[in-house]
Amino acid sequence: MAIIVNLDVMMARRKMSLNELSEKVDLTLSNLSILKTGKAKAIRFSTLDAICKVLDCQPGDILEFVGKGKH
Amino acid sequence: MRSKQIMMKTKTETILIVSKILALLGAIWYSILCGSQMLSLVASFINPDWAKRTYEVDLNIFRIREHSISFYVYAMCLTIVVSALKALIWFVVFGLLSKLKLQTPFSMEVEKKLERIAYLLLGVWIVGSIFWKIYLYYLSGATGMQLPASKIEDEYLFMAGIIFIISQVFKRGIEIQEENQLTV
Repeated sequence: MAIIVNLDVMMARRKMSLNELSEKVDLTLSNLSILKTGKAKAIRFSTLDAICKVLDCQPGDILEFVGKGKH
Repeated sequence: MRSKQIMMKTKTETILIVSKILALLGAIWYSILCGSQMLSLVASFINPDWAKRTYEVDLNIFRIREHSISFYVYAMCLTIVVSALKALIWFVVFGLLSKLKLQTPFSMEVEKKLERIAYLLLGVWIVGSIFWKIYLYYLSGATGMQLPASKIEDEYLFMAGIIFIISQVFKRGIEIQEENQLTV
């Protein structure tokens, strides 16, 4: 898919573990793992809102569009 | 409310179990039928009188034997193939009902089996109706014999179409279920 999830990058910048994020965002570890590994097919606005609040970032910091020829 | 839901679930489970048993019985029934027709074909070369008495063999087909052995063998082969396809359909239905889980009914396996049933039904229609009509045309041309038309009519084509459409709806259901599971 052309959309890349940079959740792991943001988590590393904020020095936050997956367990900690899972507790703060109120998402299961398995769901966060699906999102982190790029297996997710869709993301709810509420989830995005919660992640952005906890990681203090913009949706664009987590999601990135990569067109053909890049990466 | 909850007890009503439990009751409905139990009812569905019961219907599924009964359907599974019926599908298995259907599969066994048509397997026996197919076997008896095969046995009759082989036996007709050894002891024609005994072969006539075997179960579910059309006596009209035996009349062909007196005119032409090859036409008789073709007729028997068509009958056997139709019975085998019907047995196979019931086995696939049994397999489908065995794989069906009430918690997650939309699975790729079930969809594939539905599609297979549709193709097998189409096969029954092609062999039992189209091939039989072609066979009757050549039979009347070569021997002048008139046999009754096949018992297999266009309903099989209709059923194949309906089940194929259901399988495609199922496929879409699987995609939606998958999307739902992978939405965080």
